[in-house]
Amino acid sequence: MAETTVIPFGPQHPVLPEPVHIDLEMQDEKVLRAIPSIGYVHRGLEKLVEKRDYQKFVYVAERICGICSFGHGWGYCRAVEGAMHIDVPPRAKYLRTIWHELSRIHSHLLWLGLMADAMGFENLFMSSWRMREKILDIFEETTGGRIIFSVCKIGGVRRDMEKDTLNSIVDRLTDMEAELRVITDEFLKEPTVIRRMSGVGVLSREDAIELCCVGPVARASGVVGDMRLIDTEGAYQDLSFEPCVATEGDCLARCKVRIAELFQSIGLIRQAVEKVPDGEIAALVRGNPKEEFFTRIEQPRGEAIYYVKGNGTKFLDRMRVRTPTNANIPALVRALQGCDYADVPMLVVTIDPCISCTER
Amino acid sequence: MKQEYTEIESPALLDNVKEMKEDGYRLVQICCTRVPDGYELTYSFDKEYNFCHLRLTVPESGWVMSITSLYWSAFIYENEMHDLFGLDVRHIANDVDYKGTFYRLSEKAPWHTPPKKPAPPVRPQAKQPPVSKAAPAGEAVKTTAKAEEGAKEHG
Repeated sequence: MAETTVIPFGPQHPVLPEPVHIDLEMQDEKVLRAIPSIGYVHRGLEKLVEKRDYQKFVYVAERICGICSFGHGWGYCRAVEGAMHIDVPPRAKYLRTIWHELSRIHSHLLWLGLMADAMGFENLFMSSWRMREKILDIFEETTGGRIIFSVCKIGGVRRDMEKDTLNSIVDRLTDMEAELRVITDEFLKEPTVIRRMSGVGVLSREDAIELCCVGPVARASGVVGDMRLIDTEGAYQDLSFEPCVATEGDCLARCKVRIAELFQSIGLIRQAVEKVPDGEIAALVRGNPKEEFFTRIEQPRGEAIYYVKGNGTKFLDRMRVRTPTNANIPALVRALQGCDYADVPMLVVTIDPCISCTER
Repeated sequence: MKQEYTEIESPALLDNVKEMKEDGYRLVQICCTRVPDGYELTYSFDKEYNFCHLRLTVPESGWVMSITSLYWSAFIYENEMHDLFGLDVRHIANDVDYKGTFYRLSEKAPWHTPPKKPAPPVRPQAKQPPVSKAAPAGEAVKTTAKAEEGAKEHG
């Protein structure tokens, strides 16, 4: 019987963009148990809501994460709008949906780059991030910001998009689609990539359900769940789409789901641009929130929960965010059990961990 | 979105959660909110997009039973409640009971203090004309009487 050793993985590791620590109990090259711990970059943003005006807190909510910043701002706004019974104008719902889907493309392209980097496929990493730059350019043109937009506000959005701008976005995404095919085919058809990811870190459907996984991690294990299907606060009820699902549950399946969602998001933006109605972009907001409200949104990494509790003043009693990575850490711990040490970095990346979200 | 909370008592937590588990619900999150008399816990579940919540209030000196025996993935939320709010969560599964080290914080239970309601805004007082210390009270009365007489003349 080989001796058991504990190898610390992180918080600083070449494959980790953000600090997370995992103690790996090893027997030879096999991982017996993984014990994660976080808290290196905990900022206490939820507590800050007690000292910030609820309308200005949108800026703080957006800073929970730099990748899905729009989604966090939108989720917080939706929770406050629910607590105050504010009806958001239809045009604002469409504009929010378009920006949110662009964020999904940006997030998945960033992940594809990180995945390629984790495998040592530097060219594919650079190609993915080159494509991501085009999405960031669209953000800059339409919102003024590349990462943090501050375009979402309680009651609607701050900026409108002209018809020409919307059409130009669709044209650019159509051009991108062909280039994206070239990159994504490398992930899906290149034999070395397939051999590196196929059959690694398998999470069964039963495990995914038992561990309450969300987002692409759950969908790659055959769990059909996408909050956009029941989303009435965005434009999703007017758009037709099906959740992207795979059944293998391994690293390659997670990659396939995210790639399928890239093209799905382009399709959703195209549909939204065709149907976007005219009208106001923001509703009038009067008074302060007195009630509590739970809402959920499908972020690029999965379902995120937002909760606010008002007290009639401009300061909220509580703001809570349950980010997708929070829900997927137990799945990571389970998937790491029994894997090879060399697969650990890649496996950690396939759940697309966002530590700044987790440590909001 | 439907906002319904089923109020439960602390000792009935495990039984209620067990029912949810047997009905095929997935644990979505546990939210701890500091209220003046303790902690308000909301356990959220989902089954085929049906989002529902169990709610219980735990007194400040009280404790709550862990649900990791039913939903192992709850350890993330329970360790968080313990580390940030200082809530005593008992019988967390051995392999994931961090005993206060899940979050590496410089301050113990930093969110233990309940939120303070902000004081109402204080309106700035109108400036009073300075009253001369030497003037006796009788003179001030006379001045007022003179002013009244003047007002009658003008009227």
